[in-house]
Amino acid sequence: MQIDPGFRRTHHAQLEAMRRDWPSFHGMRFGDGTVAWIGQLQPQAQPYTIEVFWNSRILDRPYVVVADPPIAPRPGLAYHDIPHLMFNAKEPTRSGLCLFDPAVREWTPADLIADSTIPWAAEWLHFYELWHMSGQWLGPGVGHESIGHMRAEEARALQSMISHRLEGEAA
Amino acid sequence: MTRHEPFLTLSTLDDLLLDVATEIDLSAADWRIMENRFRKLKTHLERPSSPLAPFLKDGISLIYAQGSIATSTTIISGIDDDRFDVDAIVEINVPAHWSEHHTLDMLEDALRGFPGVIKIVRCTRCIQLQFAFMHMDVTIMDRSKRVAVARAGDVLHAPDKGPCARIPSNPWGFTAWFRSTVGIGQTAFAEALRKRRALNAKSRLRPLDDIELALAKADQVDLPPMIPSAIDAQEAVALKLLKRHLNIRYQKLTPKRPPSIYFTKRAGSIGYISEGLTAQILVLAGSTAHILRAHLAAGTRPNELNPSYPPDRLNDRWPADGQKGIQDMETLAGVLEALADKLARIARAPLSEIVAGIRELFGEHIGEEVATLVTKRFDTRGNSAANLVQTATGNIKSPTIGTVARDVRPVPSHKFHPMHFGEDDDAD
Repeated sequence: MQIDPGFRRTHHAQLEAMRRDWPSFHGMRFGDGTVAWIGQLQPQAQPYTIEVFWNSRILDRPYVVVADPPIAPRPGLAYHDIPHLMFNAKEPTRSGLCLFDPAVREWTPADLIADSTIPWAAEWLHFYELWHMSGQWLGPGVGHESIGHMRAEEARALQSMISHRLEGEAA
Repeated sequence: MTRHEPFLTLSTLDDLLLDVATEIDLSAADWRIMENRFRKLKTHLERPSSPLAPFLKDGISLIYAQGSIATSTTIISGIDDDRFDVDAIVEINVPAHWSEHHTLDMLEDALRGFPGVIKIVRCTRCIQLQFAFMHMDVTIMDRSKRVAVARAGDVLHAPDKGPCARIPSNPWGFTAWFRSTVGIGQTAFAEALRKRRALNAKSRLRPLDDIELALAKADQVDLPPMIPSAIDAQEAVALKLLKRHLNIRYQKLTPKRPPSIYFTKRAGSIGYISEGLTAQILVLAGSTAHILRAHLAAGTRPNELNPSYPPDRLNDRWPADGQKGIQDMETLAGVLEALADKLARIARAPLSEIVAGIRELFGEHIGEEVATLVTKRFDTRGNSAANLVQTATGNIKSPTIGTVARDVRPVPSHKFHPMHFGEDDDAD
């Protein structure tokens, strides 16, 4: 069956699916077309409250924030070292969770948030706890692990570029 | 309130405590080697040159396992050297003219030359055979009084200083009581433990000869069992974890550690707690602390009797007499309350805090092993097997250990990645 590339789930469908599979989540609609949920996940022992925002006119994916307890880096590291975030430099604890690879369209508006975003958010929290425990991100990832890594690599590449000695080469 | 509360789960801590349990447990190969040593004990004591051989001629086995190995609650007891301590009983009619010391002398002579033994140590009530990674305490039980209870008799108490004594005892009956009380365990728990053991098992005992080497490698042994079979009941596992914790805590404490059999009786008396392994330990520790506090308030002492033979006082040497005994009880109550408190706190904590708690409660080495096991279990980099997620709670389980939880499905395939959001100024 061919799926219409423009197909998207209605807010009603998203809200209904969330109510069915994640009954602890409270869904709400806002006048600007945003639909949002707040609810609890317990991937391991620690319960977390998360917030999910979805408005296709503003962002091409749901934005998931860990509200309580707020995310924090490992001792000695910075917020930008927390792996797999949509890093929010102004307000790091309100960074979004980067849950899928947009380049290969692992998520589209045709997908139900209840079937994809929420299980992925639970898994993100699970791997975040393991990262705190072991220092390693043990989940599947693509590209750089964190904005910190990305910046370090960019800095290294830049350093490498400007380290070329030009005198004597211009013959 | 009757509504199901999906977030009141202790399953993560239960899972990690199962890892601890398999880390402190005997492997199947260890079990077969140990059983072979009980078999050797019988042939060694019955050999013609053994001074006890004339007393061991009978139609039934007079040498058998007792204590933790018989109740299936043996753990590695050494803090640094991964050692198992096991106990054996040798039943004989001690001649009336043999003193307690002489009887132990005879047992010590009979045990000389036991294959693989590194050292033989004389204790107050037993002779200890020390092997690499294993100690076996061999105790004589005098059945000459012909007590009308199956396999009841007297254990001989022969201290270096002070009076000797005969202590009424019935380890056989106590083992039977514990095993029948606890049973074979709940199917789901036993299955989860077997699965975990298959993943984590680590053999410690070194085979002494070709026979032990073959036994260590065998899948099945066609010999009559010398040790009652292992029981995978939650009550037995909770007891093992408690014993391990007491080993760690009492390393640095002056008061005397209570005997394990006291807790074995408590564990059997409490029964199965359906809320899981963490809850089973919480009840065992909490209720025992409560009993001790009540004794302290009333000025009395615990007196646990062997249900199969009440003259057998299970904690006859603990607590000590006088003020020292009060300190013994206060210390134990405090240790148990602290354990329950710590377990309750880490039961809803992040994994890093749970693992730190396990290090503190069960030893640094065990904590490291558990962290390694958890890392390995959940490392899905380059692994196509998806984790499982429980609807409603978002609880994540590894497919390698599975789950009995309802409403579980694989996490849809995806890859995490990072990106900038908004302005690129840092707010570290």
